[in-house]
Amino acid sequence: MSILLKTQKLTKKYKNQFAVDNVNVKINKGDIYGFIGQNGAGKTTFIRLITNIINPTSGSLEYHFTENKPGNISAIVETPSLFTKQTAQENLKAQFILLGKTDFTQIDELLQLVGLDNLLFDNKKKVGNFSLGMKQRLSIAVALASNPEFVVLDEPMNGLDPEGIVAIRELILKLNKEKNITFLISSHILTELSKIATRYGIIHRGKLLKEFNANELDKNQHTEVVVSSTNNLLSAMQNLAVTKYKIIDKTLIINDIEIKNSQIIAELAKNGIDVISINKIGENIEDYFLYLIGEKQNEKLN
Amino acid sequence: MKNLIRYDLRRILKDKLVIIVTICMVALEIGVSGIFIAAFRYSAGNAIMQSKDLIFFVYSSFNYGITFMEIMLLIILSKEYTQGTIRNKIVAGYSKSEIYFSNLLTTVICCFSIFLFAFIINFVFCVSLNGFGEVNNIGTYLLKHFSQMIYILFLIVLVHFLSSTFKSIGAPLGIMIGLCIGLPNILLMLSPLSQINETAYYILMIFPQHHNVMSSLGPIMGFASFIETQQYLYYILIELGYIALMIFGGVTKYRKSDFK
Repeated sequence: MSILLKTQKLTKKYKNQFAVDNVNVKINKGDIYGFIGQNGAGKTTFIRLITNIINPTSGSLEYHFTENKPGNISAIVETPSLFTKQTAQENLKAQFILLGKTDFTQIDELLQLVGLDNLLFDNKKKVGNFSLGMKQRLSIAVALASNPEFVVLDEPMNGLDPEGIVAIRELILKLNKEKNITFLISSHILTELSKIATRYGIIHRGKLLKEFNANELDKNQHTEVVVSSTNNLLSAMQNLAVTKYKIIDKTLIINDIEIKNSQIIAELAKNGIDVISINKIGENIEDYFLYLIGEKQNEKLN
Repeated sequence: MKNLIRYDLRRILKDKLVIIVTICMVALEIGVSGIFIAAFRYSAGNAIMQSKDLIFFVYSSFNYGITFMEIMLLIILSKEYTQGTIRNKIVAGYSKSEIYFSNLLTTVICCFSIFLFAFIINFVFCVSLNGFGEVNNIGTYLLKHFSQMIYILFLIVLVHFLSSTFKSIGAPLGIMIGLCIGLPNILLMLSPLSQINETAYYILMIFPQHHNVMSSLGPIMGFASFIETQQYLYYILIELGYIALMIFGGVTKYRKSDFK
């Protein structure tokens, strides 16, 4: 898969604080890249850096577009950038003019595409009177006006109702599959992000903690077993041929997802150990994110 | 760049403030001219200030109309930063220098269009009521107007410089009002300083204001002769120097600046 964006040691420093610290991100063409981090982790700063809104303190970034044309990148950063005293059509027309487009017939198509069909008949409503969800949809339409190769969406689900979230999710998937648009999406709604992301980057305190494919998540699962006694636990693990495990008090953590829960329970029972509870941990991006952040915080404490 | 200018022109002209300011400019100029013409007629029986001087006096007198126009302009320009629409330009791939120059150019075009519109209406109004008057030296007369236009250009570039540097409305507004309204009054008080070091007094930042005060008050106070042809050229050159400095400084800073 060919690379679309590659950053090298990208850094942004404000006074004595690193908002983004030596970040090396690789986004492939066709990816839906989920960019995850806590509030203030550096997500928006990173997005501003790759869209040229702010200048980096050091480091570099390179894009490899199929075709060199204006509007290859589109972005919605934090709040929608719209003219509030103008209508949706006028906002789109302004964007078309900015991009040098003279054919405005695509405006209605774009409004339909983002689910703002109702505005086709009510073309006097000013953007200032729109709900946040409508503004978000219109921003996406504005972002799509240039037929971009790469779309950056900072918290696109913010302010959307459940129906809107589903609509935007489906739109992203559709554009990714049909037009091969690469997306970088930062979102706090991790469960929603996990439904579309093909690749993730986790940022914490300005540093990129980890970058991985969505299918690699499975490899990060572990099984947590609370047992009645730790006697014979080692021999039970030997019998199961498990090499990656940890015992903390009466909790057994097995880092081997190939082994089924039923196998573990049976082997422990054979060794006279009662299983009080057994859980697969890290099954979703939310848990994995918290696990990674927690580990980082523990590292800092130690 | 052409698309960017079209976009910026559309953005400014779509703002209702432009219509409000144009109406206010016309009303202000005609209103002041009307009061002067009426006052001269009723007090002296005939006009002591001819239209050729009155037209000049009205638009240049402390530039209240121009200042008003620039406040409007500052509000429109700052909206781009407060609403975040500047991001659309950057993300679309335009360089910060292109954005800066497009903004500047559209600002100059819009301001001069409003100014000229109000000027022409006032000109027709004054001449139809009061005649034009005699001009002894047409070259000096036109140079006087030209130098005042350069002063207006200086103010427009100044507003643009402040708005692009601060990217907000509060600070530039305060600075501009201070420069355009407060400074002339302070200058009048400080004018004896010119006796101590004339060159320094002229080249300092207060210089364009000195030019404005002299030019605008000249016709009514009777010291128009203070400003000779050579001095007008001197004013024009120094103002152009300031304009070049502000554009160079502005674009250099703008290219390095971050946006929200």
